[in-house]
Amino acid sequence: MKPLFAVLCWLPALAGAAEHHVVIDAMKFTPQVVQVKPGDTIVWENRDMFVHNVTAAAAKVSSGDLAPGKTWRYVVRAGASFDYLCTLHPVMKGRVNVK
Amino acid sequence: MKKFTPLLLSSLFAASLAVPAHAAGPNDAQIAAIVVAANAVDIDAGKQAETKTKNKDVRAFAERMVADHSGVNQQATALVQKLHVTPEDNDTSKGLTKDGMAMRTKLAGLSGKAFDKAYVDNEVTYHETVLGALDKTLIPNASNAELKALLVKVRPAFVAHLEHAKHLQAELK
Repeated sequence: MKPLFAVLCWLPALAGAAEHHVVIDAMKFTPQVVQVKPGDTIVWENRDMFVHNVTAAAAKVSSGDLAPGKTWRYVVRAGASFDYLCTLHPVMKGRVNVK
Repeated sequence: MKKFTPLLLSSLFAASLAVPAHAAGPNDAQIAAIVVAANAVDIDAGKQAETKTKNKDVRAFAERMVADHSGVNQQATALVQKLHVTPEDNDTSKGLTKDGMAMRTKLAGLSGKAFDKAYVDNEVTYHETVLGALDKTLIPNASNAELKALLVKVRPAFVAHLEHAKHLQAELK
């Protein structure tokens, strides 16, 4: 019974969780700012012809290198909003606003 | 001893990529050769910087230039093969290669902060010059749609590299 109970407890949260997409292309994150809630998933998709990454050192968020065509999924934790960047191309910046 | 002047090299690059107003623009085969030569110049400069710099930010930038410009050249080479276009060497591509060699010879005589500053100063100039050439000469004259699309696709990388180089330039002052 315990596993069933655990699943039932999670259902409302899962039902409310949203998926957000950020495209990496032309040396930009689009949209540059995403508004999310804890439990939501953000999917970064590298459509550029260069390797990029999604890194927010302070928030301990790190995709590792994403080759062209690769995606990275991140489940938002409760906590503060954070700015991130591509460490390979530091002029590429984005932000995750956690409500 | 003659003092090293980044401006001299800047003018070399500018002269290489300048197309006289009265001259006909380059054709696709010539554009392909110019693109490959321009990327090769920055790959070689980056490889030289990787071996000479002690500055971690300059090293990271140089490694990125080698990786990104190699990526552009792989794409360009794959495209010209697909299109059955043979890159046609021309005065601009030859000038770029020659000036790139001259730049590396000058940089070889420098070390430490003097090298870092000269390398980064030239990276700023190089990317500004190539962006100007993309906008005024290469993109407008590309007749094949896929070649034009590739040039448009790589343009933001040159903008990002330029911003990155300018940031480093400010740090090194």
